[in-house]
Amino acid sequence: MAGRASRVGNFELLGYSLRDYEDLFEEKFDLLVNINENEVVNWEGKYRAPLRNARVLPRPQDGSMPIWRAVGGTPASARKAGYAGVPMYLAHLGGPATIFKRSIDAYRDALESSGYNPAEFPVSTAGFFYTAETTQQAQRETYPHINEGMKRTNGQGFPKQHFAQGADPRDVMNIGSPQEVIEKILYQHELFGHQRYIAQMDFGGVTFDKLKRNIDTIGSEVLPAIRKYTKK
Amino acid sequence: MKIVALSGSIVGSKTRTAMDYTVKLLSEKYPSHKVTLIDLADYDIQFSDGRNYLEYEGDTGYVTKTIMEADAIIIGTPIFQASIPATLKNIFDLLPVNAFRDKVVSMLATAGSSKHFLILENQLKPILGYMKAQIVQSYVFIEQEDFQRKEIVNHDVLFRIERLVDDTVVLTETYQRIREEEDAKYDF
Repeated sequence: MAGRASRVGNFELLGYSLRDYEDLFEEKFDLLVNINENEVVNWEGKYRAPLRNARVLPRPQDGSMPIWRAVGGTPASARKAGYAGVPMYLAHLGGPATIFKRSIDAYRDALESSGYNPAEFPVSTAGFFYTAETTQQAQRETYPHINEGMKRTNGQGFPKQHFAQGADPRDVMNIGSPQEVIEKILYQHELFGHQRYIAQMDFGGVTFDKLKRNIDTIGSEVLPAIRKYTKK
Repeated sequence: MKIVALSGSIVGSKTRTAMDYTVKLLSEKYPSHKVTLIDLADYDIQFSDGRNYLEYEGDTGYVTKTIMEADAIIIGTPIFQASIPATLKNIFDLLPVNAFRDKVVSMLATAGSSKHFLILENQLKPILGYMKAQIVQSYVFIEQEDFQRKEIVNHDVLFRIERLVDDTVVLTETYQRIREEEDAKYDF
């Protein structure tokens, strides 16, 4: 999975200029895809020395591995994943699931206009996940962590009003009782037609015990229910 | 309550003079609130390059973080070329899009011409609104003739500054109370 930097520290660390933000990512991503597809690489770019008949080791086990382009925010960045012809990973915080459908549609549309078959490209979504006995309890247990985590990463907390709306079945935030979360994931699957969902649980200092309990719930309740609907 | 008084220009003295009056009045009338004056002329601020405000260092980091920690901001600005100065606009550009969410922002302008009266209404308010500020609707507009050797000589201006200070504090307390009441309704 490869995404654009959301922090500037890397640029200083590696000696790059923040001005080349977009160019750098496009070039590095292109090289990564190239290395993935070709055992011997001949490549030239702006930001590093050219590669001549270079073998990059180790090789992926089955010849090549899926490289997902990580996308957040606007449909415009989803479109770029489509033009590049790679699988897309879409991150979401909160808000109606239908908003994120726009990005997925834009991605598939861009795939098609670049001559790819959208049916061959998997989509993954990723966002907050937490279950407890009841939705109220799940919200109580997770809000302080999400609020604090947002404060530390972005400098601003998560408004309670927005968080409360997260309990709505139409909202993309998978926080609630196991049954409600199962129904949300199924609704999202119906809407997005995605192949993978990444549950983000470890954010803002959720305790290890609670993480273990959630992983257990995924295995014992969530996955079996989802699989009942998704198996062909 | 934390209040930041932001003097938005690096040239001239009138805005700073007016902000000094404002800060003095705030400290006298509301001694329990913490008031911080930021005069951009005292700092070396870089242009926004789009990074998160927490990642700026030095003066830029100090100013962005101090503003973000405030409950209320009183912005003082001169009018240059029928607009706000670039130094002030840069401060907005350094901050997140919803930087003023849960903050009250009030305004004071000094100008060389009465024709500039609506500049704040038409140019500053839309920026503050976009950034989610609760705006104190009435602002103080001060003209050249109201100043004499770095003092404000028009008593009406002094009265208006006092009302601006009161309105800023009252609105901030009110919005804080509303927010606390609303937040208390949620059981998380």
